[in-house]
This record gives sequence, C-alpha cells and structure tokens, in this order.
Amino acid sequence: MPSPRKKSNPTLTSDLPEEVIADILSRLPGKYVLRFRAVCKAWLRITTDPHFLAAHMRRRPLELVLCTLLEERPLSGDQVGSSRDLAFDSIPVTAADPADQRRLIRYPGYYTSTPADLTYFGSGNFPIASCAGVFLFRLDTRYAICNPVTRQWTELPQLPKRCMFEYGLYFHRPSGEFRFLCRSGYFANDVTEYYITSTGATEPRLVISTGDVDEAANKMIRWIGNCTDHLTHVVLQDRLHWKVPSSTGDCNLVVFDTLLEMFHLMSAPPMSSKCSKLFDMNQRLAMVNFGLTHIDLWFLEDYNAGEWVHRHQIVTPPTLTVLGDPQREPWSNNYGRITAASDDADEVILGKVGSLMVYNVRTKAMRALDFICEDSWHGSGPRHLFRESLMPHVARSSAGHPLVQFG
Amino acid sequence: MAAPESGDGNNGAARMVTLISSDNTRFEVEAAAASLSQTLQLTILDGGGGGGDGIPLPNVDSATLSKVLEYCIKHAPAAANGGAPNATAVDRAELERFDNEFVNIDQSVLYSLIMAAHNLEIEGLQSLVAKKVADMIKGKSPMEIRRTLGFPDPTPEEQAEMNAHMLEYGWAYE
Repeated sequence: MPSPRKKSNPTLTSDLPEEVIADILSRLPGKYVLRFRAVCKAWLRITTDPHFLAAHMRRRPLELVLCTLLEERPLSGDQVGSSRDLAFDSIPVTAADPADQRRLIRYPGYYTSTPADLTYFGSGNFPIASCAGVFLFRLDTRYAICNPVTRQWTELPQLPKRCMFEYGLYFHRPSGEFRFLCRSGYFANDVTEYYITSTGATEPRLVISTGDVDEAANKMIRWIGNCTDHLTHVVLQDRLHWKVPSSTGDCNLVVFDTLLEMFHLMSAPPMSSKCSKLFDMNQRLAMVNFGLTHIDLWFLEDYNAGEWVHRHQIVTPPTLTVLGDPQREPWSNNYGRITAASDDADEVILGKVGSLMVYNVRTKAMRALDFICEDSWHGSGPRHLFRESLMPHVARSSAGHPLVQFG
Repeated sequence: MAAPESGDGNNGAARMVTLISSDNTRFEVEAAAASLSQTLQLTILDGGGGGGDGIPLPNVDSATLSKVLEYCIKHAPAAANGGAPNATAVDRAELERFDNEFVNIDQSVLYSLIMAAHNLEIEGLQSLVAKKVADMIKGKSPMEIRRTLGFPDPTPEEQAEMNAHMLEYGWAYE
C-alpha cells in the first residue's frame, strides 16, 4: 500500500493559483506541455484552455527551418553500401545558439548508395509551407497539414486536378480553420479560377476571381503561383502579402485579404537590385534589398497609406555580394534561399544558406551566424519559418505519411 | 526642505517609503524601487508609505520581502529608464548575472517568491521566477513532477490515465 506522502513544508504545491501555474507552463516548449498534461486533471484543464494555447504560442520563439543532410551510415545487414538521412531542423531566430538547434522532421535513408547505384527519393514529401505551428505537405495529388509537436495530421479536401498553382497556407481566425489558396489555369487563355480548401470543409470552394483589378494586376497575381518562394508570403492583419516584380523592373506587392477573399495591389519600395525579400518585423511589413554594395532595409510605416520609409543602409558583407549581382536572374538557383526574419524589436536575420547575418536595428551592429551548417543543395527550396503551437486543428485527423518522421 | 544635492528626483534625496512585512518588520526603501510593484505603485503615487505610516503587506514575511526588495533595488534604475533602451551591454550583462544568481535558491524560497511577485504584481520578477521553475521541471516525468510538487500518490485510476497518455504521446516523453 502506498502511504500518503507527507507534504514537506513549504514547497511548490498544488495550492499555487492556477494563473501562476499557467504562466509557468506557458514558458515551456510544446513537447513538455504535452507531457505534463498527464500530471493531473488541473494541469490538463489549464493546458488545453484556448487562452493558454494562445499565450503559449505567443511565447514560442520564431524559428528558422534548416535542411540538413546527416552523416553517412553503413547499410544494415549484409548489404554493401551506405545511406544518409535528410532532416529538417529548426533554430530560434533570436537565440542563434547552436545548442538550440533541434530536429523537427527526418527522412531516413534519403540517399542510399550501393556499389551499383545511388538513389534518393526526391523532395516530393518535404514540407512546402509553414503557418501557425503546422507544415503543409504535398502527398501525391493531395495536401495535408501536420503539427510536428502534437503530430496531428489533417488531410485537406482534394482540389480539382487542374488546380496546380499553390498560393498560400493561412490560419483563418474567424473559423479557426487552416486554409490553402490555389489557382487553376495553366495557359494564358485558360480560365483562371481560385480555390480554397480548408480543414473545416468537406470539399474545396471556388472563390472570387481576381476582384476589381486590371489586366496588368491580374498578370501579377497569376505570376505568384509560378515563383519559387511564393509559399513564404508574409501574413499580417489577416492578409497574405507576396512580392512580385513588375514589368518596369520595380516591385509590387500583391495582397490577398483572407476575410474578404479578394486580391489587391500595394506599393513596394524602390529596389536597387532584383534580390529582395519581404518579412514581418514587430507586426510591421518590412523589405530587405540586397545590393552589390549596400543592403537596404525598408519599413511600411503607414499600412493604409502604403508609406514605405528607408530606415537602414548596411554595407554588404563579402559573403552576400553575390545576391546583389545584376547578372544574376531572380530565378537562379539560390534565389529561394534568401532569408529575412525577425522575432524581436531589434534584431533581424538576413542572408542566404551558409551565410546568415544578424543585424541589430538599434545598435546597427552586424554579426555572422557561422555555425549554421546546412546542405546547400537541399536548402534551395523555400525558406520556412516556424512557430510552435499546441492548437488542435478543427476537423478530423487523418493518418500520417510513412516517409515523414518527426523528431 | 533639504537643498537638492544629488540631482536624484525633484526633491534632492530620493523619496523613501516604508513597507511592513507580515511579521511586523519595517523596510525603508526608495519609492522608485517599491513602485516596480503594480500593487504598491498607486498607493505610493498617492503619497502613501511615507513618514511613520508604512504600507502593511500581510501576505509577505520579512525573509521574502527582503529578497523581493533586493530585486527591486537592483532593477529600479533600468526600469526608470523605460526598460533601459539605452542601457549598455555591460549594464545588461550585469543585470542578467544578478538575475541568474538571484534565483539560484531553495525551492521553498522560490515558492514564497512566486507568491509575493504574484501578489505584488512585479512583472519582471514574476517572469524571472516562472522561467526558473519552468527550467526546473522541464526534463521531469509527470510522476517526478507530482513528487517534486508534493502531490499525493496517484489513485489507480489516475495511474491508468497517466499510462495511457504516455502510450499515446510517447514522443513527448523522449
């Protein structure tokens, strides 16, 4: 018989007010919160409360997702040869401490090399978008979202076959659904239709066409689905923002209002090179432009007036001059790998695979993040940002995918 | 009125207030430090706590209060600077060193501090202590948490639920 434990006096006991317990637990990474739901009924109640989940997510750091090819291992059993796993790791944008790097997803035996052959299974199962704690996967002809912390999978209702251009994944606050915007119409003469498929629906929904915009704008909006980093759009104020080049060499912003389900255009700052990236700094839209000699940082000071202000000019470090090369075409290989992200009032992470820098807008100091090692070939896809969440998906859960392993 | 000497505040020497712990010990402290407490701030702004009056704190004993005030005194200059946007890296490093040292204490003291920080609404201290406790419990199993926190042993029914949870969310236990 277990004897009732004596309360040692005074200790961290169950008589801490629930709000204090919630405050403590909201500072823990999702994995531990998930584990501590088993501590007692009170902790389960506290940690599944929607207010707690929202507070917890706000406290999670914004993380950069890195693609890494792991060490070679000999094949098991009698087989001659070796294999290498591929992994997606994450690291907080602000901490930038190698100790904070952790594994999110692993693809075991991604490369297999035998005396006869070298095989790899391609990037078909990689996450293609990230939003509010979930990744979007393209699994054959279907799409599914998965939360790597809770490991809940939800398959999205299947889109019509002709719907081949991916626009953006977003969290629709009023419904609590994850939604995915796509476009059909391959050739210029094809009818352009926009569809939204979501975790809360049983089938995709045809939404308004391009709204009240002219043909030039229409062209830009159609262009989004073809560009390499289209799925790293910036979500702000319930709107998705993409940067698109215009025919005059400048840039424009295309905006999709997720509440009105309409597109519109917005002005962008003047760019000195083709290499630029849109990001969100402190709930403000920001744009970085990588030039041969200078890196420029612009901020959208007045969202409604579309007023961009040039705030910082930084001398381009030698490792990043390649980005400003006028000979380089926007679609060239490492264009999609450009990173600009901020999770802090002061610091922004800038650069590309292998040469990431942190710039402090207050002290105007720049430092290199040289410890981040990433496989340059596989890192060429869209650069995802990730923020943990324990928010359950409304909707049924579905089975996962055998090739995608977490942790 | 004393003539201004140090240029500290409007009246020369910094204004002092008196706080009285639950066991009737009186602590005299600069108003700016005590004002880190949202609870005390209004009383102090109203001119309370000065002279022979003192502000009674029936929920905080003298050992805890002296610890709380140690924190407030250290953090008051930075707080007066509006979260210290102009603080030098050295100042910040020094505060960080102080904070780390400050919470390197017994669990029982930590518990009293959480409650005091909560009751007095001292935001910085609340978050410092909460972070410390979060770090302490991070690697533990649910059973270890129950023991650490002095919960009674689980009933067979509770034990079964704990086992089921571990089966379902195995990865969260790695």
